[in-house]
Amino acid sequence: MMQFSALATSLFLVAAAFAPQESGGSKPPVPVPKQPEFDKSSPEKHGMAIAEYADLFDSGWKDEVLQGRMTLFDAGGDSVERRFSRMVYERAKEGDKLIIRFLAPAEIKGVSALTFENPGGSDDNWLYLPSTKRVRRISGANNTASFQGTEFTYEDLANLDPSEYEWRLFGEEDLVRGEETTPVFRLEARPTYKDTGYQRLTVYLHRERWTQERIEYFDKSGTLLKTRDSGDWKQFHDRFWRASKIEMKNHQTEKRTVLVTEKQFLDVARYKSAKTGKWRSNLPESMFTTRSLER
Amino acid sequence: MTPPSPTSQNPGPEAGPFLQRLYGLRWVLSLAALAALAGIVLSLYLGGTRIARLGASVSSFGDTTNGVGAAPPPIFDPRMQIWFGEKDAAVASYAAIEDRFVAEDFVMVAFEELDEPLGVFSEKAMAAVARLTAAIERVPGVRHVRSLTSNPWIRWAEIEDGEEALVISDLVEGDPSELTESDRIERMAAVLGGEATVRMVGPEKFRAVLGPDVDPSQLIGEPRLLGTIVGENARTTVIQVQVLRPVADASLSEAALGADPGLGGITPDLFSIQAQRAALRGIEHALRVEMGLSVRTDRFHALVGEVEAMDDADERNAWRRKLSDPTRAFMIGPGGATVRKWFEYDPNGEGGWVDSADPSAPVTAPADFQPQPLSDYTFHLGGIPLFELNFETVGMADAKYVGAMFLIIILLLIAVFRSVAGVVAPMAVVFGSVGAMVGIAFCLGFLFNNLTMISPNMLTAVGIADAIHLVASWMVIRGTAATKRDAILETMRRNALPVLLTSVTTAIGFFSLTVSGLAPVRMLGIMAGLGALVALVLSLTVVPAILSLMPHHPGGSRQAAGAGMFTLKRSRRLVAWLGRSETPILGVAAVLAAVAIVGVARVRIDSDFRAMFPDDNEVMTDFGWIEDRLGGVGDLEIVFDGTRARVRPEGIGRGEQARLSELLIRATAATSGGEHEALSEEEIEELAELRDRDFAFQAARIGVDGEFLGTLNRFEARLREEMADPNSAMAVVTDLVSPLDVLRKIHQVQNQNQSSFYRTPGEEDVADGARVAKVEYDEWTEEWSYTPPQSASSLIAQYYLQYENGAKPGENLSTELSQDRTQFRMQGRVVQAPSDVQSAAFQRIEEIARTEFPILGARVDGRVVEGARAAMTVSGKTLLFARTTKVFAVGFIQSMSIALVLITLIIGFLFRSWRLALTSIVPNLLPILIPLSAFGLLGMPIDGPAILVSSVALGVCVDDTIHVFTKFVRARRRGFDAEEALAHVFEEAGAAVTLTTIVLVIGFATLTMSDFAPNVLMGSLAGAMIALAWLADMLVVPVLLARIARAEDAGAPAPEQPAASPVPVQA
Repeated sequence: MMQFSALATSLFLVAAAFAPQESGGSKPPVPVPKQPEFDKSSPEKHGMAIAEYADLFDSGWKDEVLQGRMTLFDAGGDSVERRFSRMVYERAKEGDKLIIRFLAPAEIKGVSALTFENPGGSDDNWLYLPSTKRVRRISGANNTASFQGTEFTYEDLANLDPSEYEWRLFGEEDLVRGEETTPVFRLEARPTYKDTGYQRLTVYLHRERWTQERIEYFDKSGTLLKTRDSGDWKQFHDRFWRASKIEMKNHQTEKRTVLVTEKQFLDVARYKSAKTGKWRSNLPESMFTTRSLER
Repeated sequence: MTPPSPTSQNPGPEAGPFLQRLYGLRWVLSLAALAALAGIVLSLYLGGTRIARLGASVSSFGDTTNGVGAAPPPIFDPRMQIWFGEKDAAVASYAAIEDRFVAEDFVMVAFEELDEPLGVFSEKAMAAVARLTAAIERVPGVRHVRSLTSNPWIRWAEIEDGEEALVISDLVEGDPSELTESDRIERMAAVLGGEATVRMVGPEKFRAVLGPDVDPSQLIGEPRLLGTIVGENARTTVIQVQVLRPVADASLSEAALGADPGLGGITPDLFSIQAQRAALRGIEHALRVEMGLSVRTDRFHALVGEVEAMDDADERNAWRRKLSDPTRAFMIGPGGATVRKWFEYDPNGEGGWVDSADPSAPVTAPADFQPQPLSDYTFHLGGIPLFELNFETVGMADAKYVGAMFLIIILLLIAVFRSVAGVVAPMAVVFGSVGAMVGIAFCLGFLFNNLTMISPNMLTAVGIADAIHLVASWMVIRGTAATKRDAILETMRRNALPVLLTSVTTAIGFFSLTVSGLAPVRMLGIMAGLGALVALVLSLTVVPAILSLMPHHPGGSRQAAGAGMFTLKRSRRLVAWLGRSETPILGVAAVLAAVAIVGVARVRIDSDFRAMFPDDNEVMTDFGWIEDRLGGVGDLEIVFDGTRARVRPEGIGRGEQARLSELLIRATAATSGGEHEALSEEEIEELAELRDRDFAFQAARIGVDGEFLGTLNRFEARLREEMADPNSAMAVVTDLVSPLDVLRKIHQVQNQNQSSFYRTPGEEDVADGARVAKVEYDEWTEEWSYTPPQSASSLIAQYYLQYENGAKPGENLSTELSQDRTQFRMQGRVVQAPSDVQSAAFQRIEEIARTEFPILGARVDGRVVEGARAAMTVSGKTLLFARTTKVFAVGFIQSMSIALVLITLIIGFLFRSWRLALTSIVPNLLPILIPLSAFGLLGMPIDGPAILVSSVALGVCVDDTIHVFTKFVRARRRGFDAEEALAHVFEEAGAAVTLTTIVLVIGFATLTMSDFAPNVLMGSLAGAMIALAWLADMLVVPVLLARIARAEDAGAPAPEQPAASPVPVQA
């Protein structure tokens, strides 16, 4: 599930507006995987076990269609907003395929990106610009690059693949945010891959929903660089949790980016078309090509 | 008025009732003296407490020390902005630019590689760059490092499977030692361009690496790096470090300082500066590690072991971080003791090595210390933060000269008076007034700066004069006075008025500085002015109190050394000589006055920061090194604001956008039929209205406006043309970067790297068939959507998006282009030069914009021209500094005028004679104008700060005049004719005036020991002015006074000639 759900989780999600369209009883809930006995012999092994189960918990959702907006705030609080849609095709082990399209502002309407995620390697990317009407393969854009000028880097958007980090459990804590108190595991994750902007991450993982409530990113000097907070969680199909609001705040520049989900469908075949009233089908893998970027 | 005493033998009875009563109150006066001293101690205590709280407040934001814990309270204000005119609109614009974009400064680390054939592209140089880049990236406070190995390399290239792609990567990824020679030549061509690479490696190698058919002229290199990161001959390279100035939350300091808003406002600034200094320390540490000058201590190695063995991961992380923090050479160890992590050595003058980590505890390297450098390069640092630091380093170094000056003055007093009272009384005044001044300054919330750092020297020179007059007079009088009481009373009687007057005029000289638009100048005026008044109070209370403690020696009259010069006999001879030389003296004075006026009119006030520091100042030497090879280290900002050319348009809200989109979909789709309902009349109107508002907003978004950017592109080309012309005022500008570079680069790589596409895209670059609106249905989101016709503007917006999608966060456009694209920033570099040369360059930029590119929004009289698309602002710290010069010039004229008018009025009022008042102008003004005019006549510029000393010198020069006038008027009242009155003036005041002049000249001369050139110039100027004032008072004034007296004697009935005996004579 890796990259796929990572993206999904990191981008938040979803949908009170959609609840009425959910399939209800006609499609059964997705069963929750059985929680194994965690290896508690060391904080490292315990941390790894928790991370692996959380990863397993959030896999198997097949595909996703999402519409949302990203708001970029500068240090003075001024902001700009971009709207986008995203379609993801989940490919366990092989890496997901996804298409992101910008919907607003008007000048970038139609800019579309196709990504094939390659676990353990660099992704394949193509970008279509409507003003040039050309698709260009993009290569070498690294993990540490900003995603569309936001405070998120590609690294932040990718799933926290348990095998790519050294884990360690600090302990069970209550994460207090305003009025809200969340029971979490506090974990440390040190990237073992080379192309990273971070020395380490602190992950606050919900003890019951297995969601990443907060992640703190420490730069290579060990200084807190960014904090990501996820909230407004919605559950899909009695299994998958998606945040509809994710905020990434950069402590060094005071800039932040807020991602808000406007619409989200997980496992599209579980919904009926608002237009025809018929069951919809899952996204075909064949739509994830450069040709569909050009439309 | 008490009639003059016929003899000096018994001054007692002539002392007026007032003075007698005063003497009766001597214990009260002594108490007042003690109270004054207590007040001084109290002000020092309160001021010290306030500064200590300031320190506590600054450190409440975070620890920026070297790891030793407590930082000394900040007594020096290193903020650059204090040197900028406060009411200057340019300062506000600059602050707005910093608010809008990231507040940051650049530090440059430069070195050269002269031996390797590939220059800085050699394995050795690239390895050093890669090591330093990685090390500096780990320094807290560093946001981004751009270097030869770490910068975006955007290109169109073949990737592994034979497919071509737009490739974005660092110029060097991974270990540079893995690069082959071909790899390095390829990168050299990418940066330097084809032709320069052919020159470096020869055509054969070039073709072997880049292909036989490649035309070198088609490889244009990377303009964003060339001449900035890499010198054009590939011999020099720079690691450019973006250092944040963290924004500290002012509310924290308010919490720490309570109701102390005066200081609360500056603590966030002081913290930002300290945090930036800590980052600088980290950068320097990285360089010392590279040079083998940083040696870890045994304790450090032991601690590493201890920390790695810790069980608690949180604790281990915290300790690891402390250990590795490159900004601190010390840390508090697990036991609570301070641990030195590493020694940092600097070579000292004798070829040895001295630890530089903690200047208070110098450590010399072991005798056998041999640096083990990782590379043998010598590094040169540049950038505004170092420049700011230099001001503080040099300013604080000046503090040590205060002690030297005290010593010199004490030796001088011993030589002159050879008595305890002669040393103790004046020094009590000096220490008391300097202490009070510092205490009051701190109480007022003033910190020291480069200018006020020398206020103790100035105050010492002027504050001691009164005490010297009193002591000199007392020493003479006590020999003839019957009692101790009589001696002191007579001393005070003769001197109280001139002491009061001279102190007031001196204070006026200082206070006149408070009209300046510059905070440091104002502070100097307030501090030294108040200090002079404290000195007055102390002279009139503490000095008599101390004198009263001295044993009385009737008949033991002693004179200050040199007093014998002005016996009555000699004075008469001098007056006679003056009488004979009247015409030549006045003639010379008149000629000098004329020449001085001509010269002063030609004075050029200027600041050249290179000239402000000594020749061997390391920071300025490094700046020069970098500028010789890679262009300016000063900054330049040209910002275009699309919202300020018009009433700020509100964009349309999210709901309205959705509505606009819906209406556009229907308006577009309905024409082709389909399921969309045509718009009603109201809806057509609504659409028009929404569109109008949206257009108005879009018009402000100049950063994505094809037409605006096209003009900007031509403007930039025009500026580059001028920069390349050595005869242009703009030749001091060496570099220009802006988002235009990004657009050109993306446009080029989008078009298969063809160099002809390295240009700002325009309408002709929009794809055929893309200029129509499209309406589409998305079956997955089940929504219709509208895509507007494509244009140069949409192309540009999409190029930016493409760039930002691949750039590292530190390389993104947010520092150059506001997120809403209404503000566009062009940045340049400016070489150090005289401020008028730099100002001319800035004006030339505005002029070109105004006359040739009016839509860019250059201003005329502060207002944007009609029809402009934006408002243009030329700014930067370099520009603000250059403007300071003007503020100094205006301040000088204002302060001088105020001081001159006030002092002249006071003299006129006190002596009740307009003739005397006007006469006083000559000896007061001439000594000021002559030294200044020398600069004008020789065509040498004067430093801004230095010229301000003139009004201070005026307040001092007038002292001699007042002494001469007082004595003269008194002598005349006794009925002496002009010549005899003058003889008595010399006899009575000649020695004291000469002595105080010597003390003042020496006092100001101590400023010449400073490392800060304006202080040296101030010391020499003031010294020269005061010496000239003495000359004027000795030569010109007597002649003028004689003329006035003769005119009075001729015009008025002869005054009653009391058979007055001469004024008391102390012979």
